Amino acid sequence: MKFLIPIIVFTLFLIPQAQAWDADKPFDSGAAAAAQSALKALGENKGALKIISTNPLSLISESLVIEGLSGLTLKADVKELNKAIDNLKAEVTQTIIKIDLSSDVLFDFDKADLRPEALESLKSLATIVKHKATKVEIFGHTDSKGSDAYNQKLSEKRALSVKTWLLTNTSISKDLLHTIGLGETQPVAPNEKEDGSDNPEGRAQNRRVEILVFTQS
Amino acid sequence: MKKIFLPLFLFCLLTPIGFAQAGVIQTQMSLDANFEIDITKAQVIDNVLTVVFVFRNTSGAKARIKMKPSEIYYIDSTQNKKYHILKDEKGAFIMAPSLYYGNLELHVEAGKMKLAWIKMPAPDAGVETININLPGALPFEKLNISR
Repeated sequence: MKFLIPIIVFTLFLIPQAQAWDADKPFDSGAAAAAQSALKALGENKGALKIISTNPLSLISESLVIEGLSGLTLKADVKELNKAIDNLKAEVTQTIIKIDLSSDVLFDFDKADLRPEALESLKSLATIVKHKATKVEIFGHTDSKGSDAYNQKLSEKRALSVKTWLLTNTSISKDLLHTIGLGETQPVAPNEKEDGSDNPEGRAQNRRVEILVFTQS
Repeated sequence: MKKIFLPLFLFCLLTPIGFAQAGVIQTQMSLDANFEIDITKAQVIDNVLTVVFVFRNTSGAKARIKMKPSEIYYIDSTQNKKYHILKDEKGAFIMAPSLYYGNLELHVEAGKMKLAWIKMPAPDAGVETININLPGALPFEKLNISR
């Protein structure tokens, strides 16, 4: 019976999100309206990243050498910040820096205590956070192994561990740090292959802590 | 009349590929060489750029192509700016097809093709060409956009 719960959750919540728009109708009015809203939310800059380096290699490697991030102190420490962004392969927009940390690096199996191997990633995270982050949201995610309730708890604990580390190791106020456990509800890759067999690579991608560093209030 | 229509009919019948490619702006290959990817439209309407792709499976067997939408972008080299796919209010990328876990993924039978499209912020007025990058494919360079 237990195995039915994730299947029902998957069917009710996730499948309806699939194929929101028709691939054969690129100019569908719903998609056009959503695009207009998205564009409006991005503001005048339209979410553009300014490329400073014209070295083609840096474009390919997505090194995200950028300028004009509002809210960041672009002084002597800009190099340090760009290095941290590069180390974590963070996605940078005008208002948010998004970081995905693998739970396999941060935690031992089934645990929420940070591993010593996590230190390097956490230091890069701290570098980003200490540059005038206006808010930080930390989301814990798990794969689909285990019950929903168990995964929910585990994801909450793991998000909390990252928050605690940031509070201890940076001067960021606790009021700016928020944690959310999302359990197994937000996979970024399939937990199972098309034939229904286990997909360890996909599950590994789903075990993660996602951090949104807001750089504008 | 018959003299005109008969050869035209035969031409249409025998050259379907030629007609299918009539609207192609630029074609590139996937890095695994399983697909040829046509861009059939890159049009700006109301400051939104819609790019329509046709993924043609040229491998001789059923093949799959999978991309992370966050890795799809275009560069406006005149302004040195980089743009990504727009996201809706729920944070979903505005594109199709979009699978439940957010990737752009297509399964195409041998010799068949499938459509996909993405929506991105339009480049500034006056920009006529852009460079589009799809992960796992050769870049589309100096692609003409219509307004």
